[in-house]
Amino acid sequence: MANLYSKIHRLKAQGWTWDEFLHQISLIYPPGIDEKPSTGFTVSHTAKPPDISARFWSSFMTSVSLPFPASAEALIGLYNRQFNNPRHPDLAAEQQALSIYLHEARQYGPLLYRARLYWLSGNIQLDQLGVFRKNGKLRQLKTAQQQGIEFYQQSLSLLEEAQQNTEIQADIDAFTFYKLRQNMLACYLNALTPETRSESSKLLEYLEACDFICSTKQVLAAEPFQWLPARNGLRFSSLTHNAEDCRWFYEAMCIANKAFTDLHYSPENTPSVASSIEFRWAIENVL
Amino acid sequence: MSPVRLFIAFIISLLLISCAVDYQQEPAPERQTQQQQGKPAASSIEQESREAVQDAAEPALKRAPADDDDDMLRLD
Repeated sequence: MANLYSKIHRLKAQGWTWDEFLHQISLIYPPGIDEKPSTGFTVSHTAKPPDISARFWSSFMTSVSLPFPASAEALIGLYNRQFNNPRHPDLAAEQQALSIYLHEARQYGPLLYRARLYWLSGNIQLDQLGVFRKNGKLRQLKTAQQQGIEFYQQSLSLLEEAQQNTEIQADIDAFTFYKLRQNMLACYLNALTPETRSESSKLLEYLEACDFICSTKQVLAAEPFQWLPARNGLRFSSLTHNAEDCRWFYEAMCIANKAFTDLHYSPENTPSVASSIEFRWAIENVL
Repeated sequence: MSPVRLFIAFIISLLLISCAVDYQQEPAPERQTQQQQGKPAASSIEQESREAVQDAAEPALKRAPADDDDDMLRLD
């Protein structure tokens, strides 16, 4: 639920007040929501999201904070619910079926719609990397990595085209572009075993080419509550043995959430810094 | 027709009938070829079936546990 937490804070940073949240929610959800657990969730990302409205919250935040058509967002939501179900009987079959559909669907429609479908196609490839890697399926791993990067790149190109098109007047913020580039970087990283990540020349070349460290610092300057980019910044600073950046991103993590002062703190779906091999250099030399 | 001619005609008829029956019982060379071609096709199907069974027996790709390796989470 880190994304939902971040989305709420992004809107708050844009000037949204709590009353405004409630007003907008009441326009599309007349029964309203339970205010108390919802406000608690906005204070800490570790708090349990309001159960009766977690799904509603997620779709609401998406509808007000993303530039993409609702139909494309619905498809992404549908896939994410399948992917996040640990008891799904055959996720690979779902991914294959959706990929076949997207192969046709992403060729037609408005630019932003197509861009989002390419994004989803990239997500499907990225999500399979860990599975192929752990099962020793090297050929499929390489293919999924290449396709994932290509799909994200195509999405990026379409977004740039939409932004330059005066008829569309798409309002695409810098964080949307950042997210796509970080997903491309993830395609490089996740295809490697954790032990080899500090030695991969391809990964380190792309890391420098995409200017990830600098753009992550810009994101954090605008949105200091984003602990996930801060953690990734620390990860890559540790992999590249950059002590100064390690300190910068560790402080950013602690600003986003004080709980990170304990290196054994483990947020949902994320291992602790202390238990991850990629942070070893930073722990031994900086932190 | 004299009895001798009648007898000869009878013998010739028997021979013709015998030849026709033999022709039907003996498999034609073309048919033999078709049958030979059919045999590998059948064994190919058997082989495919065996492969399908082997595929089914092979354990499905295990899903990567979310917190096993420290992979980067995607952003939507």
